[in-house]
Amino acid sequence: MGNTGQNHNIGIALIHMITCFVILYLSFNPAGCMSHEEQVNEFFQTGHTNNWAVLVDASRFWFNYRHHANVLSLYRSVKRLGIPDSQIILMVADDMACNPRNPRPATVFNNQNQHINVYGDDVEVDYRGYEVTVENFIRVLTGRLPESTPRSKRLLSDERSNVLVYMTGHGGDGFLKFQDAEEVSNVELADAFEQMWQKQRYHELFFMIDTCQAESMFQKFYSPNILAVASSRVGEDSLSHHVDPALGVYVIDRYTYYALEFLESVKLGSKKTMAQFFKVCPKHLCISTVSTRTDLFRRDVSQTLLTDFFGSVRNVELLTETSSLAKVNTSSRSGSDTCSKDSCKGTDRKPGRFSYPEQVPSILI
Amino acid sequence: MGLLTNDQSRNQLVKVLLAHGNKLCFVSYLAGVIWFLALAYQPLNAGTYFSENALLPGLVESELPPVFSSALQFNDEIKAEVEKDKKVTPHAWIFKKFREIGLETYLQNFSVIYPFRTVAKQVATGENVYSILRGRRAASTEALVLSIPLRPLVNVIKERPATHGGIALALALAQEFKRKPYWSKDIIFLFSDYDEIGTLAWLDAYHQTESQYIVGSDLQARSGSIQAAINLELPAENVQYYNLLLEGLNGQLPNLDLVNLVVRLCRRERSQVAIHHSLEKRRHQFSDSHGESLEDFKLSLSTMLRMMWYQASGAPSGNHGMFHKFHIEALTIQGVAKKKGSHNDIGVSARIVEGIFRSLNNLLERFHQSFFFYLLPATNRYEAKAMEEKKLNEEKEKSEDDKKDDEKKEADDSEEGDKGF
Repeated sequence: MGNTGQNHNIGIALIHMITCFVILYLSFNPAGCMSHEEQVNEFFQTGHTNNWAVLVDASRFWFNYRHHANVLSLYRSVKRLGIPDSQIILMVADDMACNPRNPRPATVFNNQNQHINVYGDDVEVDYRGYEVTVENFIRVLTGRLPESTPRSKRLLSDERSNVLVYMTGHGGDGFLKFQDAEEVSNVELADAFEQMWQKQRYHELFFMIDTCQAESMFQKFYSPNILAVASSRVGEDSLSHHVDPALGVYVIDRYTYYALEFLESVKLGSKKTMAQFFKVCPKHLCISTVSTRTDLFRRDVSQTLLTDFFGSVRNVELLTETSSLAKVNTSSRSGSDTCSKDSCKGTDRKPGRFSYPEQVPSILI
Repeated sequence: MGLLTNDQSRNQLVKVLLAHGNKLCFVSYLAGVIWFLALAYQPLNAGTYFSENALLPGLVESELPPVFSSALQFNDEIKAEVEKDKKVTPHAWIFKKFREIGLETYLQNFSVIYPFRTVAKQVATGENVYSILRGRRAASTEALVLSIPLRPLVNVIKERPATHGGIALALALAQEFKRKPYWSKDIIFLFSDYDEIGTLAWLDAYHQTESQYIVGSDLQARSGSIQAAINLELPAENVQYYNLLLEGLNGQLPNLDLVNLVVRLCRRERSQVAIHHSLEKRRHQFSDSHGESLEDFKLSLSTMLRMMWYQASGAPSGNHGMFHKFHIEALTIQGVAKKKGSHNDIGVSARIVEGIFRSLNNLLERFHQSFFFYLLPATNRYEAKAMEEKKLNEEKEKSEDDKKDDEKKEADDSEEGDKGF
């Protein structure tokens, strides 16, 4: 009787030992051997917490079908990578799907094989038809909208938002044509972005433009944290890719076609960088020269993830230990803080990480 | 001192001019005429191009069946119908057939009061048949017209050929078009009696205007404003080439974009197209001379002179001339049938007309981008009257620039995926 009891005890002890060893082994597993600090820091590396997208198609009429297809394809990509409709402002004339000339009513295709209907059932256009004007565009960017504007038409970004701005249409040296009636100039656009910076409406901004002489549109930018790519140089035309003979129109532009091809290979957790994205359309494919602007951007482009701008990545990291996070001082921006009544003498602003910026500086009141 | 500021030298100059005034006048006049004729020489004029971006000419593929059997069948039927009585035109048959297709078809009566009172108040009466195909998804604010003149077989001469193939084609196309959802404008099929007179009677009734000698009854139905009209004179036999007639009343011409559109669609179907029967011999399209040889020059010159001659007469060369009165761009496509070697059957003509209408369907505004007054030495070269003064000053540079532009345009076209010809 005693012997079996002893054996039983030894057995239990053995099991305990083995379990301990297993636990110890697992805790010292080289795979999870990153230090705690590093894990936490990596989580907060990018600096942005939400993503917005402003997608604009500045032209209308049946023969500009390809601009429509451009912007809707990008809308689909951006939605697929996680940015919800509530954070996408889509400005498009929307006169393709229901155009009486459309042989496939209620559809917009971006490829000759007509596999993907980029219009679909669930497209949400925020500014349609004649609402796509320069005034509305600038107002959306700067936030100066009338009180009655519904939330879906507002860009409610804050200083931790990464904003993607995509524009397509007909452009020229220094301007972009809006709906055949007006133009937005590169100076206006640069000033609008500066207003956004002053009002802390973006953390980083990625500007992408696919028109003729597109480079001219980003030449005048002067606000920090802007990354820009354009489909053609000044003096060059951006060309369309191919015709769909069943529809009788050019269905997509070259730069956007190759950009979309690249984006299709990007999944939510992808580590593809912006530097790779900039190489997406070499001259023999695009015929025009793709040019970029990286001097205003603080980070290294080859370390910046594509999903920082095109997707909305919600990171989840499981830690095995607790950690306490130190409070971060938010006054890391130099020289462009708004000055409120109380703190105009250069003293620290209100403590706390998030404060609501003043929409109209009190100096003016 | 300068020639003109110095009194003495100025007087000298005036004396010289006065002494040789007549000779100078004669020489300048001669130089002008020679210069004008030289414009037919290919390096001195420009290649045609499209100004209207909305047209997208020839981009869409045809949706007609490869063997257009309904057109062939209608062709046989109409041939039988007109043989029955060579003195009349088949109004009743057309009316019945269009009603069977299901289109709104109406008749319009008109009478012509003979202006010369040699015989006491002669009045001739005629009847137009017209049919309106409504665009299902559009609001009938604009329309396109396919017009076919009705000629009894006894009246057919070389300048006014038979048009029965056109009737069959119109019927077949109406049946096809009715099934499609992509028409943004209404299409009106007009069959007019007595050529220009019937067309004018119909147009007057459409626009509520009045002519002095033509009295037409009111139209029972109408559509929106007419953007363009194509007049079709196709015989029932196979066609060897298409001849375009452009001249309207008092020398008016259709917009050059419309002419270029028709030429491009004909080329897409690999059919020969000519202006004033000046056929571009096939071998020249592949030769190295690029139209600079003497033969080419003679052909271009004769085409240009014939065009000027027709314009100078002031009379329209076809029904399309009546449309010009109302600022509607129109031209006539005449199918020329020869005895042997013709391969353009009614299916080819149908595809050309369908392509023209698909392209006109894309228009958003009236034709206004391209030239309204021009001379065509060939179907693909033009000479715009607005450019002639410039030519006088910069003769050589212009021709070189044109060559570069043509090459560049060809390069652009091919890069954009356009199938150049």
